[in-house]
Amino acid sequence: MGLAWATLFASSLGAQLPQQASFIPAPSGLPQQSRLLPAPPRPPSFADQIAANAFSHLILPSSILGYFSLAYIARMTRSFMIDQLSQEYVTAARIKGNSYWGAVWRHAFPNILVPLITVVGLSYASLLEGAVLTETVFAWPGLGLYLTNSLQNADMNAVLGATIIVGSIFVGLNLLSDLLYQMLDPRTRAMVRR
Amino acid sequence: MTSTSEAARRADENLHQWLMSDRPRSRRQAAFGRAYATWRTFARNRLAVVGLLIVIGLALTAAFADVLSPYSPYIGDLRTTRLLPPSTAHWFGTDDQGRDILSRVIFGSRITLFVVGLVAILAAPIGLAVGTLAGYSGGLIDAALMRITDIFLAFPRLILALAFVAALGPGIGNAVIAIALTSWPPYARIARAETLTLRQADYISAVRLIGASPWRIVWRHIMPLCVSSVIVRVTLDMAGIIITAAGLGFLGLGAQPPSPEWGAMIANGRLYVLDHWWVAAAPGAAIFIVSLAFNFLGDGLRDALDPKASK
Repeated sequence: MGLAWATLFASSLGAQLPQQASFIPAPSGLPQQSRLLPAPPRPPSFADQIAANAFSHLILPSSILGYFSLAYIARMTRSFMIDQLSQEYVTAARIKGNSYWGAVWRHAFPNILVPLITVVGLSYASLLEGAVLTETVFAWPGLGLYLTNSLQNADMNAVLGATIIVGSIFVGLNLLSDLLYQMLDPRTRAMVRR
Repeated sequence: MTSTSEAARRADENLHQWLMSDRPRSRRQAAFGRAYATWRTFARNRLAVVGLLIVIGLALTAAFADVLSPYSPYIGDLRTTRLLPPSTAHWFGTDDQGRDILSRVIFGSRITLFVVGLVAILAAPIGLAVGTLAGYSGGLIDAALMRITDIFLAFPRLILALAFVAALGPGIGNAVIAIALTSWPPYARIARAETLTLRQADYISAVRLIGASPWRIVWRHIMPLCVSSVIVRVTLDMAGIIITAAGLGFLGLGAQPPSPEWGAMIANGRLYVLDHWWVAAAPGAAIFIVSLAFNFLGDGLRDALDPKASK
């Protein structure tokens, strides 16, 4: 869900940019056959339900894009969890009378959450670079498609601008995750004060 | 019959004893023994062995592409063999130019191996040199080199590679350079971290007391110890390198037509995916299988080579 919002954020950022060449013929794909979800590209709609319409077109590309980082986040969560579950406080929580899942959720999970923020922040990089490919496939007029189009037209200024924007978003998010880490983890906070 | 198998069994047993000996009598025996122990750790991980087999298969496919491929990867018959579904004559079907997709996938393995090998050769030494130098010298050099590394790390890899290719011009050679330029920073970080833990070690002080120059210490005594962790990381990165190369090819910035690069083949197949799914399916499956194999192999190598992870 957070991934969908991340994509929405990235795509709406891209929508602010001028789009000289954003029209690409509708890409082929299963949605057109199955009619389960509306097919790309987003139709130019001036109705009052633009947001809902746009969101319905976002479901397919964003879930494919989110799938990129899902595996990475799941793997890191697993290894953090294994680390935490071998700690003594989990045993203590079990002795206290917690059920197994009670110990996992109430005691181990909050401790995982802190390093997980860094992982999620870093996986934003793969979202940004995945957006280039996903937006090309789904003809979504975002930053990634803009970058691709300007690359193919040898428009160096546009390429540089898009790269710098992506880079600064990435650096900003890394900084944000570091700051959040310090806010949430009392140990690092103590170290900063010293 | 039984006696020969008995003898073979005993020979195996003796070899095992010789390799696992606690007191090797020669340097060679010790080296063999260590390699054998590493192999046994590695082989315990079944998936890693599967990955290794697939990677060896990829190398063999690339080497014998001429023999293995049933048709030419570049020339198709536009009149009779255009967009044929998979059949016994064309196992993976044919594409819009009438070319046999199996042959193209087989020849594409050469390009994939070329990219992967060249990036490993270019990026790993750069990362190793920068990291060990920064870690050992410390101070201003360390700060400068690490800030350069951070600048490279500030961009997602594919996007930085895109920018480099845009500056250099499309083509497989430039794609390799771009990917190599974007993949060395993590290696530099690993090598630096490793160097920082090693530089205070007693044996480094001993070597310095003997009078070794800093260059000699870094080159002969620190770098060899960082190599294994960098190799593990490079192997784990192979999948990412393949996918980045395929992404560049997909966007038309990597290998140029008619060369049978897997990413470019998918981009071409995308135009026909509704009625002719096989055009994009075969190269997609090839990328998937090879990346997965490199990931398995990297996991196994990490267990076998990294003493910290295995404990």
